[in-house]
Amino acid sequence: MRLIAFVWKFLIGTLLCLTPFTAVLVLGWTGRAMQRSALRTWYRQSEHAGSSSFAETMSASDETSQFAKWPNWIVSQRFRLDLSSAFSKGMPLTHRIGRLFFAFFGSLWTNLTLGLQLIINCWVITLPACALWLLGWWAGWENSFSKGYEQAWVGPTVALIGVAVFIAAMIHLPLAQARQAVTGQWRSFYDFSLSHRLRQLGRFSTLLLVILYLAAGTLVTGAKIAPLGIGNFVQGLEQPLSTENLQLLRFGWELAVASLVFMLFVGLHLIAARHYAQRLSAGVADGHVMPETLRPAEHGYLERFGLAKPGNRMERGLIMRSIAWSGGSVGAMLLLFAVIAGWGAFSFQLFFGQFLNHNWIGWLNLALVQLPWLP
Amino acid sequence: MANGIDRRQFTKGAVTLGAAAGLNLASPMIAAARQPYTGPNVIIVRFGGGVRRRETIEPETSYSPFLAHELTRRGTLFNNMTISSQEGVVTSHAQGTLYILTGRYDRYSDVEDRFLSERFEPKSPTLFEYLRKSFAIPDHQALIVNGEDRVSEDFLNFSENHNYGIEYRSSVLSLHWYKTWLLREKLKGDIDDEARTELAKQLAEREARNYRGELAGDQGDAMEGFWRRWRRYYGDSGFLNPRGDRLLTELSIRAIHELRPRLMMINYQDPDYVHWGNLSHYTRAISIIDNGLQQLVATVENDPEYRDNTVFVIVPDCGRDDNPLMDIACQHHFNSRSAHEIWALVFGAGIARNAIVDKPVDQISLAATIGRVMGMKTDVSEGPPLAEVFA
Repeated sequence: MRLIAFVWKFLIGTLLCLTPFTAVLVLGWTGRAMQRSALRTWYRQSEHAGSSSFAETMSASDETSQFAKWPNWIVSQRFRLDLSSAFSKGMPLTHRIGRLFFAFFGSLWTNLTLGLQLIINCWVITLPACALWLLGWWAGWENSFSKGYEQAWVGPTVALIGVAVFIAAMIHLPLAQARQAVTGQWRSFYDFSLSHRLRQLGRFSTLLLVILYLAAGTLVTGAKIAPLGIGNFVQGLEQPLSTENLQLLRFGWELAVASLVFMLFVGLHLIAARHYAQRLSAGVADGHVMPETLRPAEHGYLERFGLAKPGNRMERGLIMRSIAWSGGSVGAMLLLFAVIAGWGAFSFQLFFGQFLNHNWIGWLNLALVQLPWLP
Repeated sequence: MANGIDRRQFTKGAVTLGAAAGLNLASPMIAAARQPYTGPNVIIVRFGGGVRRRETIEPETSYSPFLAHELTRRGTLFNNMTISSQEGVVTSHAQGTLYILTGRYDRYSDVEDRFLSERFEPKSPTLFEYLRKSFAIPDHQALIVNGEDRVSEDFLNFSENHNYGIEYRSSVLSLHWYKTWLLREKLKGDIDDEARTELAKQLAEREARNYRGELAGDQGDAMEGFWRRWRRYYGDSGFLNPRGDRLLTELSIRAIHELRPRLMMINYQDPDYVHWGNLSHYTRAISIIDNGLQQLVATVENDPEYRDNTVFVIVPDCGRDDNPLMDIACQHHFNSRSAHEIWALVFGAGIARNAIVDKPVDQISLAATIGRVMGMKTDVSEGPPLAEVFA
């Protein structure tokens, strides 16, 4: 049954990654999975871990029962409960219809609204860089074509400014996005001081996250440029493919890319959520983060798991020891430099992919960062 | 690389030694020993930067209306010309240029095997060398006209074949050569030390790009005069003269008026900008070349010595991809089948008119064809002449 559920969720996720509009639903769904991942991280650090399973712990409360299982794509997370409540006696017809609608489409609605909230915030800090890249590429080559020696610097400079803006945005984005998903509040995305403190507490794991983005970016870039070889091979066949077969090939390729993007996108975001949860609980435990400065949802979850007490210092494992090392000024500088270089390399992947297989919209959507859709 | 000195270094050294000894390899005395040339002038137009048949010779989809509708009626169109698919043959610009010029599919690699660098040395004699060895033609009447984006193509003007080589080289018209000449001129003037140091540095940087020895840069009196007149008209800034492929048209037209070339190759290149993903660069560049063709043909028709005595050969250096899975199907030319599919149009004095040849022919056949048009042996080239050309 779990396998069937996995295959179902995977297939739907893959199909939704085929267009930018449906990819918003994937982002929302991923946001909910990030919430679950953060809660699971805190559960593992809590006293509940030994006595009951994660699902049991979550199911014990109405507030968290929705996180007992992976999020649904369409029907409500508590389908049976919502369905039966729709038929409870004495309920007005309009409420009844509302309940019914929510039972059947509750997850779809939540995925859509959370997805929109997440992508709007993501666009606010990443689209300026993307727009600069698009402009720099267009203007730079337009000028190169017409041999405008006088303003040859403009295109490259605009693109390089875009890279700088992107690096700054990406230093903030993964933790901020995870926090927005967990709190359900868009304002939490812009809590720059807390994000900065969490990064300071986890510079090493921040770098690991960047490396994972780079590795995943390499795969996505590979998927972007692969049509260069595949298409040329197909075009060179002795027997040319019929239009129908060509369309089939194109759809099959897009499906394969969508499944890759879906897996990598969800995987990276879950790791980011875990990273956020670990840093937050460690910060509270070490007294670097005051529980009262947290959003109500965060505070509530940490309290529920008994992690909201300052000074509740955990035993230092490898990660914590590396955090301590990275807290030193030299280590901090080196790691910051590595993070900046990493995000710079990540943006270079986009330029490389665009050079080999260009698409104007490709400048405006990074499949692993914004919408999980590869133009 | 045997005995610690490679062939290129040896050639460069020998050439420099020759120059130091006062030996002018392009001297009129050597030319005078050969027969004067009385055949037609030939203008080879490299419809370059890699183009597909669809956007050039196919009338319904062409961005080159003068070529597709007018010029094809005036000559013989080979609409099924290809570049060989044998191993080692590369569908790219310098390679395609050398296949056209030498009539052979020799393998090329950078002179120092530098990554992504294409500084080639023709392995077989070029058409210019065949011509100048057969007839008394000075080097400024055997011309290559180049753009400024591929400076390495300025040095494809003679081969390393022992029976030909630098003695029979062509001259090159390009902004690189103009700027090099200009720096030398400025250094002759009365300038302060600081300016002199800066100019000398710039000149050294330019000369360092010449990977084929000092004499390849010695352009002779006729070329000096050409650049002097160019400077008088367009100045030093480089902002007045036409830019991009329009510059090549301007250089070529001026060359016809002033240098009277007997064989000239114009290496257009801007359709290749589509590598960066903007399709309109490709189509606009094709239109610009088409416009250049109109101007060149008009120039020839208005010149009594060239009218009815000139043959045009128009041929792409390579085709482009026709990739059905990419947004810009023709973005690159990575040895795909479509990148091997080109065409050639030959028209002018003594050439069959209004003929379309759709049998498969090879790009390297053009060298022997031009050799036959000009009445010279192209004994090292491989492709057979295109017999359909001759009326």
